[in-house]
Amino acid sequence: MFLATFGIFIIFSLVFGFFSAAIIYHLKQYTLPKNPAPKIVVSSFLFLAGIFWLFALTFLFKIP
Amino acid sequence: MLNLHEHEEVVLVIHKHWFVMARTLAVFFILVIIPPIILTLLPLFTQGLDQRIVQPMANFFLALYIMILFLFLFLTWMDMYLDMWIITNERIIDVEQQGLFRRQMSEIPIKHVQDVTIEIKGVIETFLKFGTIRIQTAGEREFKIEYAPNLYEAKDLILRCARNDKL
Repeated sequence: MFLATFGIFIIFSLVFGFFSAAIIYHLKQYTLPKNPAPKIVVSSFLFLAGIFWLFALTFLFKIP
Repeated sequence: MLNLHEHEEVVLVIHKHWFVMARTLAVFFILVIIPPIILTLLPLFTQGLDQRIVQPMANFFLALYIMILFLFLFLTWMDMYLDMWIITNERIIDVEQQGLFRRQMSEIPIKHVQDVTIEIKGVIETFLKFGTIRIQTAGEREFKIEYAPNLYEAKDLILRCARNDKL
């Protein structure tokens, strides 16, 4: 059971990382200069996503 | 991203009104609230199963689900934020971001602007003061700015730029 969930977690992390990176790339590339909003939003997103990623990891290791 | 001509200045940048994002946020909160309710009721439906497996698995998938919701929210915000209209003293640039891999940019010279119409439809648009700006140009396609805030200021500014070609 653990191995299957671990596989799901790895694939999910890769896909999630790809889409997050794509969004951040777009914001970095196309935002008008001197605009603080994207920095705040990107930081908040990374922080929250990081917390839930750690939660997922913690629960993953509780699966026998 | 934006290459301005010599002596060209950005006069106004119009992003969509925050109400567009508020709608998405409402959906986000509803989708966030539902799983914890299901999780509370989960032991009732999984009585025959080993709770040492069910509980961490449910929590694990809940964490992934919330991450997906954050990603969806982030993507929607990016889409909304990168959809913009840049009004300079020489042209109007319409930037349209459609999801992650589709982006469209079109522009019209400000001198070609013939008429600017604003349209406020419905109760929400009236109370929150946003709506659609339609820009008619000489022989070219119509430009439409939807969910634009500060309609009157934007309209006046576009017309002033079109008449004077400078501010």
